[in-house]
Amino acid sequence: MKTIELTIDEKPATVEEGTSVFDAARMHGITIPVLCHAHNERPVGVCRVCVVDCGDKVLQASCVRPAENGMKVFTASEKVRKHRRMVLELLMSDHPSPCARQTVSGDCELETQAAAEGITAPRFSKRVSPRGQDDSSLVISVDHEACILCDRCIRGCDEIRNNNVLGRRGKGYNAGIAFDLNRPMGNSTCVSCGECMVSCPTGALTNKSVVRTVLPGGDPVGADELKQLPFFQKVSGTFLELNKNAVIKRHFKAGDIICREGDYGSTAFYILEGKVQVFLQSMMSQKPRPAEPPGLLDRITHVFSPRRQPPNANQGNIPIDAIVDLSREKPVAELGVGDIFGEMTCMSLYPRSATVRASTDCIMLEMLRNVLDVIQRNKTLRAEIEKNYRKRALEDHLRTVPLFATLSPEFIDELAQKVELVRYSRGEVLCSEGETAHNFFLVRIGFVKMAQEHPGGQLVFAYQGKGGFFGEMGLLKGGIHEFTVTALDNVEVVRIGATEFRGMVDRFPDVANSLRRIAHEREAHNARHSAAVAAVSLDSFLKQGLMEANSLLVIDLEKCTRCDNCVKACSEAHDGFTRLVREGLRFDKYLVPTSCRHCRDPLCMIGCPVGSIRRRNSLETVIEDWCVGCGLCARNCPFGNITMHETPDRSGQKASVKRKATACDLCADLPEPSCVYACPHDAAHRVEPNHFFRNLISAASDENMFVTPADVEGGSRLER
Amino acid sequence: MRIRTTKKLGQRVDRSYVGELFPIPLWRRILTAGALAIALAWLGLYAIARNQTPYTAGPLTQAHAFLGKQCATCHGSGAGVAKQVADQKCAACHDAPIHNVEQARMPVCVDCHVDHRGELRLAGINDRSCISCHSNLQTKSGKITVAANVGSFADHPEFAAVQKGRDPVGLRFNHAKHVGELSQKCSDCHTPVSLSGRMPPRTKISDRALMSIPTYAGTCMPCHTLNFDDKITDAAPHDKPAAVHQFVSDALTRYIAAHPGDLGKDGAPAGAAAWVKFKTEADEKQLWDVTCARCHEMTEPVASGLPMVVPAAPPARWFVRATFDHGAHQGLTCASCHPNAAKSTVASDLLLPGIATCRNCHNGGRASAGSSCATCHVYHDWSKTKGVDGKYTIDKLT
Amino acid sequence: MRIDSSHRNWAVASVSILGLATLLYLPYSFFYPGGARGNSLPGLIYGVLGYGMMLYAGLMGARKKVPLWRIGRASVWMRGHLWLGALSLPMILFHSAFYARGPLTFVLMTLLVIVILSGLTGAMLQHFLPRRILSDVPLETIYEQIPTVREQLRAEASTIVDGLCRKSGAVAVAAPPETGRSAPVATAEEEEGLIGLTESERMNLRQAYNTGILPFLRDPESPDSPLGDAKHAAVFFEALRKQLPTSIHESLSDLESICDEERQLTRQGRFYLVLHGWLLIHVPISITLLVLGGIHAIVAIRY
Repeated sequence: MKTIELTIDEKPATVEEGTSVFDAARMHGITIPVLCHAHNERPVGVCRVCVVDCGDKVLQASCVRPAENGMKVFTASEKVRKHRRMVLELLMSDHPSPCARQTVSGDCELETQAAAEGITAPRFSKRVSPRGQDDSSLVISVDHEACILCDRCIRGCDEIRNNNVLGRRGKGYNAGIAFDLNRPMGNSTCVSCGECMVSCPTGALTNKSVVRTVLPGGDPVGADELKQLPFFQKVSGTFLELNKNAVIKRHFKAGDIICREGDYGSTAFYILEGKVQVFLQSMMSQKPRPAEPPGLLDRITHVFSPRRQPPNANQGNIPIDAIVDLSREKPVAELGVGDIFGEMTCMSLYPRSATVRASTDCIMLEMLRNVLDVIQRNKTLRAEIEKNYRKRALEDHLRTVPLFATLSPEFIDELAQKVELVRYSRGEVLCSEGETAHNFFLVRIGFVKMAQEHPGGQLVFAYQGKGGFFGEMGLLKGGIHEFTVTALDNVEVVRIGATEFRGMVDRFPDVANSLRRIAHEREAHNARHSAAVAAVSLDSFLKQGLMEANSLLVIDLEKCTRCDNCVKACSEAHDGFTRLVREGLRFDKYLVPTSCRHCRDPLCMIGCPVGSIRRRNSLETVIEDWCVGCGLCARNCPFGNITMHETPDRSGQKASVKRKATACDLCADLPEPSCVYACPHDAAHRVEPNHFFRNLISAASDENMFVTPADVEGGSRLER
Repeated sequence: MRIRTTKKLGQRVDRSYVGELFPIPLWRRILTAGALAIALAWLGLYAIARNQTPYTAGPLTQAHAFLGKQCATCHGSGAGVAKQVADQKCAACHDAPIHNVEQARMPVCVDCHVDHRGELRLAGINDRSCISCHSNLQTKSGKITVAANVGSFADHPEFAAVQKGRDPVGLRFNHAKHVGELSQKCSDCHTPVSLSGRMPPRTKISDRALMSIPTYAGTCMPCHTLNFDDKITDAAPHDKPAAVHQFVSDALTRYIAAHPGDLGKDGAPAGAAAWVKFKTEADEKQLWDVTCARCHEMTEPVASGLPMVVPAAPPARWFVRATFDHGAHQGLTCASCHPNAAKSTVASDLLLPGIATCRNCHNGGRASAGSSCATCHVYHDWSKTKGVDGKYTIDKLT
Repeated sequence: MRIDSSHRNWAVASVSILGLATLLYLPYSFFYPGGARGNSLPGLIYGVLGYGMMLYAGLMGARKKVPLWRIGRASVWMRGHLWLGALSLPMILFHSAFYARGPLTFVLMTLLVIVILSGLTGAMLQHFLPRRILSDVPLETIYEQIPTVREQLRAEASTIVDGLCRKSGAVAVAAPPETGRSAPVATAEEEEGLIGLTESERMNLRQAYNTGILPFLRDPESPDSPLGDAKHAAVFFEALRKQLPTSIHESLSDLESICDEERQLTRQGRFYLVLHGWLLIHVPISITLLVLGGIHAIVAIRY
């Protein structure tokens, strides 16, 4: 290697050829201030803070200027210092001082250097148009105002970590750093490794502390230990250190309850060792109501007041917040090493969907959202999750789709290999109404909204949670998406491409016919529902939301004698707890009490962790037996029509009460809603408000004003 | 700014109120229980005292009131719908002779006598009961001796006695001479007497119901003595011809014994016996042909040599089927109902008033004298009364 | 129940039954041997009909206790109750041949008349009052919950006043009472420091609250409070508005509307007592009537 002789600050220096002036100075104990140069990154020389006087016409950036023989370098002459101060002053003029980093840890490199140079109040005015903040990432806070375009983060992401997420965008005053094609950081392909944050000299990229306290109940896990796990290997150690308290290691003995259904939480669990049992306690301790009551007196009463099983009661599995679903008959499942559960609770703060009990002694990691986010973006883990999902749950999920229910195992197997797991974030559109359908979607995590545009506005058809599916028309020729599907929170879907599917169908021709038939039925079914949903004029009554109702209970106050028989009947029909109270706003001469309206846009259904509040085959809202009592639906309902109350345990084995959500179910197990049936003064009626109030307005008489308790196919009272 | 939303309104209510008992429903239950308790206590106390008076449909007539404590006394104790008090229950205390053997339909006691109507005359029957048969009379044998279709006093036929048309008395009497020329008053000869025979119990008929049958001794004798001989002051008895003959004979015998000087005078025989015979014949001829014949119909002397008197048969009671009470009408003059008496010259004139006379006052309606059937008629034939063989003891009835 | 055109069929049927019964009664009363009376055959028929109607009417109460039994809709039963119940009076009058002088029968007739009269009163009340309540009490709530709602109104008023009076902790305020229920209907806007009442204004407000509003809210039905009357309340609040700055007039309107709601609740309470009070006569008397009527029937048939 050739060596070079040069003089730095009148001291001789001998370095190898190719060494930069900065390095040469550093080797000889002279520290030149830098901003954009990080010792572990390739220098780019964009900040000009490290300029030195090399004897050239202009000052040279020492981090990129190679040392040459005979160079005379002055690192701290008056000229150099003047230049350096100017650069710092210019940079400080746009810097939001004190920036986040300076505030939290006092080590913003820009501000530290500026302070050292005595720059307190820059003489230049701030840039006019702000570049803004980006709060979308769970772990890193982006403040573009504080960014000095030093390029460290880009080099860290691209060159050190090879994630290739960061880049530059814009020109001149609009120049800045960008994630992917200028997406918000949280919506980008960023894997939250933390490298950019660690390399950023200012407060442009700082660590978001999700919690300030330590997670209780376990031992903190050191960064080294975490890095043993495959999916933490590519995460910045500094980042892990900074978020040390967000992940703990927990030990459970066999039989311990790890979490209970219905409880609120904010953590997810990753199983390191052992097995757990996942089940629904509320369901297992509830026997279904017997069709024929046992006692003699009950049988006599039954003659007068026959109750029937609500139709379509048992369909499908119960979706929970884990890799598997629970079956209706025996809602128990097992999870083992490498499984994650509680993702939705952690990410979207939904209540726990099931009770988890350790079957053997277990060790698991309990983590907060920021750490889970890191894991979820990790490619290794994603591959593992997908593999698991394909093996255990995908087939079951696929089978719940009527389209796939009858397909052979080989077909399903092959299909299972062709699916993709895709993530969407809040507000992203998965498919649009009217577009040619290319994909079929099955929801694995999160909630989506399926809506249609109508002249009066957007009408929500359904909220789909785990296990819900849409886009099946896309799998067949000529299909068009009927709905616009939007992600309501962090959603992960199983996506099946139409091309692959059709290709498969060609190879299994007998499948094609049955598929076509099912699709036809589905089309008719959807058309029926669309008609029911669309027959609405959304012009009036919006303030009270009456037109949102499919079925409204109205009490004619000119006839009502306030005798409370309706409430007593409702109470009697529902184990002594009424679902109706005679309170609410008035409309014309009617009182609209708090009784479920079976809204077209069922806000109550968003977020149910076990999918127990749902629609079956009709537009009625029903709450199934396995409700875990979290209360989310009650909070979501804008009219307060859902109440939480303690239901007595019907199994008879032990005396206990479970908190459950209840709402008017139109007395599906009786021939007619009890409140209407029991009103002696002909005052209470269940009406379809559009028809009912239109008659009121136009003063035309129509005998079919009231919803008749006819048994329509599917058992719905709402379809006329 | 106060905002009312359905959700807030719904959530301010505590739903557990449904099972609770609030004041008005509570008081409803209390008052129901209280009212029931009072009612049952009221009946219960009576039941304890074995007194069934609360259950009576109306107050019993005073005579029966003491029986009211036990319904079974009259009503029997077997259950039945539309059951009536059995005749034998009434017959335990009351005798009720039948009306007429020819009755086609025998009504039961309660068909006409309905108690529990408060203080009223149980025997005071509504016309309806009578009319039920007499508006269309049927008899067992088919023979009908009275009017067959009587609906009310308005279509009551003329009285049977009046229909006869003549008085069958068999006497000769000239009312006109006596009342007019001699200015006698009705009451000189006719006095009221009471009804004879059995009367309905506790009847209101006075003891001046009938008018007496004028007798010779009571009415005629003061003026019409039966002298037969100017020499004998005694009058002949008003008796059968045989008795008169004997009396005359005896009287003459006594006379001639006392006055033997009259023997042989005036063509009479001298012998006492012959004289008596002679004189008896002559006097009896006077009597039979003149004195007695003045009032009586006499036949020619028959084998015994004495005539027969056609018996006079004045009926003691003209209206046998109805009860007429002169005492009830004593405010009227005799002539207002018997106007023909003053003009009647022969005894066969029927001086009874017809129904038209009665209808002057008894003409129906609230403002008239009673014209219901029971005003004059009585159902039970009290002549056939048998009396009751009582079987009750005091403790059974109280 | 509102008597409207939906009752037409029932009304026609009832009037026909009444007409028929009357037509049959007339010849019966004039010509029947023994006269018209309770235990004649027609009398018994009338009695059975009448008692049957009363029994059906009485079963309405039982019907309400088993609202789920599929034995006919409650509104149909109610119509039957009204019309057949009303018909029972002429039926019983015909049965009794307008004569009821036995002790028990007199009591029964009296009770029947009371029941019918109270029932007619109740029917009229139920016809007219709901409309009155609808128009006079727009803020009505469930009667049994009036105390609960009143508690919440008191808490709301207290919060409003505390919010207005609070200024950097200058005035010691009492915390709103713990009601154990969910939040009151509206919460006052607690704009700390923005209201800016002077000390004297706060004193005025507190004074007005403590002497006028609070006693009224504690006992809304007492006759002493000026806020018990709408006009006086308007005067009271007008005076208060004059004393206090316009920035808090909205909160004063809130207080005023709270007082108005209290008055409405009082009015609702009174309506309710009238609308349901007559039942305190109707129900006990009718139950007694049914029981005694049954006893009467049994004894009459027994003997």
